[in-house]
Amino acid sequence: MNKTLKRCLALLLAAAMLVTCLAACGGKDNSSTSSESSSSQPEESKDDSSSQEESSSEPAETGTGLPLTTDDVTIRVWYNVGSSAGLSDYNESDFYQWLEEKTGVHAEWIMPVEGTENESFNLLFASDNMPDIVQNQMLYGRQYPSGPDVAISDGIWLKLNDYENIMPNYMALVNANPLLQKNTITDEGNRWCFFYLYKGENGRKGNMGPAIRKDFLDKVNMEVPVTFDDWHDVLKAFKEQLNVEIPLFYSTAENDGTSGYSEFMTGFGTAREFFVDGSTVKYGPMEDGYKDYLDTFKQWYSEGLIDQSFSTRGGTLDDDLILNDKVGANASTYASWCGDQYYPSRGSANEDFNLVGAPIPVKKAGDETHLRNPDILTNAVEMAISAETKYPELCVKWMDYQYGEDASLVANFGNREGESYTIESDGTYKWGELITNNPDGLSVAQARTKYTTLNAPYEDYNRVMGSWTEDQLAAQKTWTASKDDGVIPTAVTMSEAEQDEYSSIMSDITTYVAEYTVNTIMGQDTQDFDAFREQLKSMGIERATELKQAGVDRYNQR
Amino acid sequence: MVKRTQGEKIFAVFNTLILLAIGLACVIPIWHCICCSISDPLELSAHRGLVFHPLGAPTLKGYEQCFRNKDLIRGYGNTIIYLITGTAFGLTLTVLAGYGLSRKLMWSRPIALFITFTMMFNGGIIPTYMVVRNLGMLDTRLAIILPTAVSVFNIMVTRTSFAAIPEGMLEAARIDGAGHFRILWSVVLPVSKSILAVVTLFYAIQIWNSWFHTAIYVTDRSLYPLQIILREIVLQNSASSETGDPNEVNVIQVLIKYCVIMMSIIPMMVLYPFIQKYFVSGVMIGSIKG
Amino acid sequence: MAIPKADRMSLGVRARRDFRQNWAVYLMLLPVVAWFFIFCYMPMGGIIMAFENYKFGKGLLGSQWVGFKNFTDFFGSYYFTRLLGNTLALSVYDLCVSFPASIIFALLLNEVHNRVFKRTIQTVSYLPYFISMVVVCGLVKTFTESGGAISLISQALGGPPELISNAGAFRSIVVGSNLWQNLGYGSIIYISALGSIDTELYEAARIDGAGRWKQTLHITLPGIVSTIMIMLIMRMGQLMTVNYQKIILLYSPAVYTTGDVISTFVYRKGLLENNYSYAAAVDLFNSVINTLILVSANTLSRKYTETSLF
Repeated sequence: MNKTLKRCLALLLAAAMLVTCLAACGGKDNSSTSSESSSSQPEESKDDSSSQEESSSEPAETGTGLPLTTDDVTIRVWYNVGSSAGLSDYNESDFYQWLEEKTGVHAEWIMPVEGTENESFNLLFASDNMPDIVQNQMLYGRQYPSGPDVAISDGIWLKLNDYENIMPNYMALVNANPLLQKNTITDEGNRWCFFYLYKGENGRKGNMGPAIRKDFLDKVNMEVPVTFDDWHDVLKAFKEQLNVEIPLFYSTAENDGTSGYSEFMTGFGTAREFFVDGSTVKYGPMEDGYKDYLDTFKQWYSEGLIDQSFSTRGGTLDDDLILNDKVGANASTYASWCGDQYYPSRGSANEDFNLVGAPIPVKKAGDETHLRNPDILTNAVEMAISAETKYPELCVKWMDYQYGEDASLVANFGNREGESYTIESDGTYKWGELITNNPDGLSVAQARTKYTTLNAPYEDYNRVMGSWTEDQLAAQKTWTASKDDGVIPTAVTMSEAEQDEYSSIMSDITTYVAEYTVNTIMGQDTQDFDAFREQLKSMGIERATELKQAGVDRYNQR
Repeated sequence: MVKRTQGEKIFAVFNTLILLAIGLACVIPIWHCICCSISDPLELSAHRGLVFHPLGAPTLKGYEQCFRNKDLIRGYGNTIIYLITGTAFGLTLTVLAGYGLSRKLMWSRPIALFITFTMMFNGGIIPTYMVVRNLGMLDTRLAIILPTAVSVFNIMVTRTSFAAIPEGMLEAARIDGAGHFRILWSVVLPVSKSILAVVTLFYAIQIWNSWFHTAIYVTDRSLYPLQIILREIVLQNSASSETGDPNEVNVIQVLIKYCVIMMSIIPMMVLYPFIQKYFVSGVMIGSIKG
Repeated sequence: MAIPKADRMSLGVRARRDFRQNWAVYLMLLPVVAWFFIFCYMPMGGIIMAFENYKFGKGLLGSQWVGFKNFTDFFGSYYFTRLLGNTLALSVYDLCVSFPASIIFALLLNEVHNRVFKRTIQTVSYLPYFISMVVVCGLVKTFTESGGAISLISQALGGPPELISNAGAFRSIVVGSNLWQNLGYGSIIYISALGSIDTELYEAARIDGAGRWKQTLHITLPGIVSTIMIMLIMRMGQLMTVNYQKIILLYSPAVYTTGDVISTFVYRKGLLENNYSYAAAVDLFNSVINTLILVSANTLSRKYTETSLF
């Protein structure tokens, strides 16, 4: 009978579940997997040498044998493309088709749903089916929760130190720059991933900072502001003479009453969170300058000079605000948004629209500041290889190949000369019409993803800057004129125990500081600054600072 | 016709006014969305406040942009599959459980407790994920349908409704020699059409709107339901990033947002009148007259 | 000492007799029990996370056992009392507004004689429910930020210029948007219950000369009281559970004083900071309180109205 069948099935299912669940709870035997993978190494290399022989008749393009394998190999890659890419499969992209052709390796892309990347990423560690290569993004909190060193000792990621001899392209790039050597390993010296790198000795220069409407400044007959007093006067003039609704747009994703890179705080000698002064770690809100910052912004807020909704915008500057001349200045803007083309082409009603970069504000002209959107050598992508992969060598080679000259060219500019790129008279490359003005109506991001890659493993930032206008380049120059030596490098790490303690202290503190800051600026909180600092102390800020200091010290000694 | 008193007349007037106000409050924001979704994108982004008529010349640009997404049609198809199978499965289990719990059994209370207990305690995302994984359901349609198929709330509502059916009707059937399955099928269900319609609607809406667990359990894009695709369309055009560019695609992001809202509402609005009919007939039949 | 024979029967005998009579009913219950076992009880093993320092690499059984540390950390937290107070305040506020509102709405509709009008209002009132929460919150924000329609009204009446960042207004915003979204949908169940009241009862009452008000009081309300009780118990059981997704979409540090609740705290700890153990502990605490409330509500209801969940 149907029902009895159902019952049996259900019982069977339940029993099976219990067994599998218990088995799964037993945990993985990490030591055995990692030894397995290392023992499989010699075999693999044998395979590879044979494939090298087979292909030796073809001209070797980068010194390594191509294709990397002649077998029918599929590697699984967890990669967050971001839906802005508009591709349902990365294999539709020119670059990855080209890569497959060259390497003979087929990649199966596993892409998380936008909005759940972090959950999907974390669940990878709960599944027993780790993809061969996994994209980490430490900047967005996507990394093994106990840190890279533990990931290696737990047998999650492959320790790449053992493979350095077969990753010549990557190692050459890393070894060429002492700072990169330091930034691409952990405190314990583990090489746990391939970092996406920027081309050039200085990598990518800072590309965000304060920007202000030049056309508004002209109307009120004023110069680009330098000091906080200048800013005050300019914003007031915007407000009173031009009736600008939001003289200064000021918001972060966290709604914590600061700007993203402490642009308006560093001039007071403080920061939104930890920073280094020389080699000493300091916590911004504990500094005396924080009070000056709060007083200034409280004043500005009460005069209506900063966005009255700054505490709820979540950092997003809506187009309708800026297109309709409701914003006079923005505390932290991309260089690519500056100039007199960007917004008008989006439909600004004002033909005179011109947004220019303004220097990081200071107390008096000539003061030095130490924080801004920093220059970076590594992009925010770290590709780690699973310790359980069946093809450790192949994965390493596949990754390494992407750092070679050929591959990085295609990754940056695509392989359609005259369409996806053009070569200038001075030999530099530039994006072609296919990217900058796509005939199918794709946005630049979509076109980049389709014909090149959105994030090239070895990114030539000139490809982006190559499409910038004079104003945009000038804005970047204005910002990078000030120092960024207060920024704590992202490569600073903590041990698992330190990290646990640090996060448990800081999660309460971050909430408390954000609340205090916002409410003080809005004039809703009457608690005085000393009491605020005392409270931070009682919440353990000193201990957290020690922990951060220890991390920085270790980093400096690498 | 019974004569109405003065008080009743006044009440009727006020009642109508109150209900009218509630109705308007519900409709205005949706009308706002409809108008926005066919407005001129530039005028829309300049406008603030409520919109009562399409701004500029009505345009279907936003919808065109949405339908350019290849996954969208497949998403609709998938959602229909999930809607039908998921609702059928959930409803079947709910009706069986509702009937079972409405009988006076020795173990009724422990079983009811067993079920309601899960309203309060759950294992959290990771352990649930591991169970689904161990069942081998990751990346399958089953993972979208099964783990959230049944709701305690719906079971309890059904049970309450079944329990309200006069015992005499069931007793009569029993004397005629009907077993429990027979009683459920030919006595209980025919007089419970309205509750069945309600529960069906509850399940359908739940499935229609859900996306989070799908996003976690399934990475195969060909299985994605509509909601995930719609979310992607919205997010795709909202990310202000360095890669933003002077292209028209970005200008109409606000427009697209409204189009997506409409696309997620319209099918339910179309479906609703049919269920509404059932509501009414269910109400008219009443439980005794059956 | 004459105890009836039936009562003296052993549990086993009674169970056997019960099963013989009702095996078909147990068969009906089996699939649903199995479903709950698999998808709700099996994952409950995860609750032990609350007592350990859970690490992905070590798994559920391999992670370090810390006993009640996560709980004591939470109770000793700077925010404990505020979270508890905010959760209760918001939840009770919401319950007091939206629970009666749905019933009243159903009753008001029931008094309408024009069928077209009745059906139109009814249909229209469900519409907000179909709008996804993200969108609703977006609309709420545009109306309550500075310059938004509702904020302007508040300002004209001497209130703050921006409501969404005003700690005093935040709860009302959440409760109000809940009401807007769920009023019609929440009334479906009562409308359905009202429909099953025997119309002959009304006729009889009318013949007796009872007015509309009396009919409502003596026929309509008693007719739906069991539904109301069940719904109330269910709501009580979730008193400590506030819909965190909505609050997260609406709140900001400026309104933490009134808007930060236990579930948003758990969200920040668990999903944003990966502190699953701590989040599990707070969640467990929340669940225990919820259960206590549910059980007491159920007991009281069984005693006074003879309606109960279990």
